[in-house]
Amino acid sequence: MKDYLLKAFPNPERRGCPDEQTIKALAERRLSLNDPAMLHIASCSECYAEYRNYRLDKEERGELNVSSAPVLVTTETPIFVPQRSIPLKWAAPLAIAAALVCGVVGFGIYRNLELSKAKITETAQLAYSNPVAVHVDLFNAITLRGGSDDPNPLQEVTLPAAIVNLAVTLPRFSQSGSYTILIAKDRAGKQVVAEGSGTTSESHGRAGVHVTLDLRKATPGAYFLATIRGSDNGTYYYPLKVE
Amino acid sequence: MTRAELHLVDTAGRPVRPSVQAAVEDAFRWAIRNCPLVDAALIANWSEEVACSMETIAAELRNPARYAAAALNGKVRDWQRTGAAKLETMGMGCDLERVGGTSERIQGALDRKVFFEQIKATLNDRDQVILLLLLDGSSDTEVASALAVTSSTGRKAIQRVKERIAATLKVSRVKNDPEHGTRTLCPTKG
Repeated sequence: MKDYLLKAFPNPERRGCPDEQTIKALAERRLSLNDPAMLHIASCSECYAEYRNYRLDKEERGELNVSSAPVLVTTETPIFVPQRSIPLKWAAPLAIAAALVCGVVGFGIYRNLELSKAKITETAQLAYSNPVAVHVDLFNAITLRGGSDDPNPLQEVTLPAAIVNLAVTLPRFSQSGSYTILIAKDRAGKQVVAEGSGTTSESHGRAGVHVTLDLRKATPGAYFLATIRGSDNGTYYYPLKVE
Repeated sequence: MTRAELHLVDTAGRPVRPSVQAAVEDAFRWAIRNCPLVDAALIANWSEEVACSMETIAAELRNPARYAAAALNGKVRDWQRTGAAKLETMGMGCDLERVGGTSERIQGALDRKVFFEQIKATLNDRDQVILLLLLDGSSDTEVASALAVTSSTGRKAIQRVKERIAATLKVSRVKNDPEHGTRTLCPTKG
């Protein structure tokens, strides 16, 4: 099954891949497994290979104590052992036990009915866990810097409240290198909703960054999309709407 | 073969820069671990070649670690393709297969590819994450926390993934062995 993840999702151009530090942090469990980058790693053979190597490195250093047991898939039917005859003196305790079991089963049925209601919510969550590809073109965008102007949300820059595979075309004359894309409620970047890092790739003279952002918990409304240059932390803000 | 045994120099015999050295040493270590059947000396040679070529383009390299890993993996894969062909055993069966254009190796690769495609079609993104964590040896609780669900929901999700893989495996086995499990009727009796 490891071969499946290592070979079934080739991505030699490393499109949308998180940076090494993110992968390493996930492998070493310094980052929450809830991170959207996990979704990418599970569907990118190159990233999985990197993740696995970091994980094995950690295991070799003796910092990891996991049983690398393969996935057990059992399709066999269970074996039933024939029961012995029950002595009469056990009849009364067994009857009490049976009554208790009936009570537990009854409670289980009731709970199942309650859970079936919750299943609808779970299905909705599943739908939201599928990443949505969005492209944001900032090539000709006017930037906001610092805390001066009143933001006017741009109608065309909107993101869904879901896991987003975001491709950002950076503004004209942007330097290449590593960038962090941040979605925050304020321009000070204190109420960060989602964050992702990536390295620029050039296409037709335009620099772009691919990141995966988890906006499932973002309530619809006005936000700021910030691009933070890795080399000097140069930060630019763009008004954004989450729907 | 340890790190110290790698002789990482550029074309003029000068030691390569530290970033290239670290990247190539990591890639070398990973390749040795991932390909235990390939001679470590061969991997060391390729690592030194990769380091030398990386040094010439070091200024343009955005990510030396990923470059080194990809380059070294490519060299190992190339060798596995050509090297395995040289080690092929001779005989009538092999000759016929070669004339027919198929071999057990190719058939195996094809079967595996088909199987991978079937699993890919069966599992969604969330299932993929569950599978990854299970392969890591993660506990049910860890899987549940990764999915941001309760332990019982996590366990159910794990069970579903296992069932889906089992179903795919079953279909794949039946396809590979169509006679398996079929009733053989005696033609002389009613």
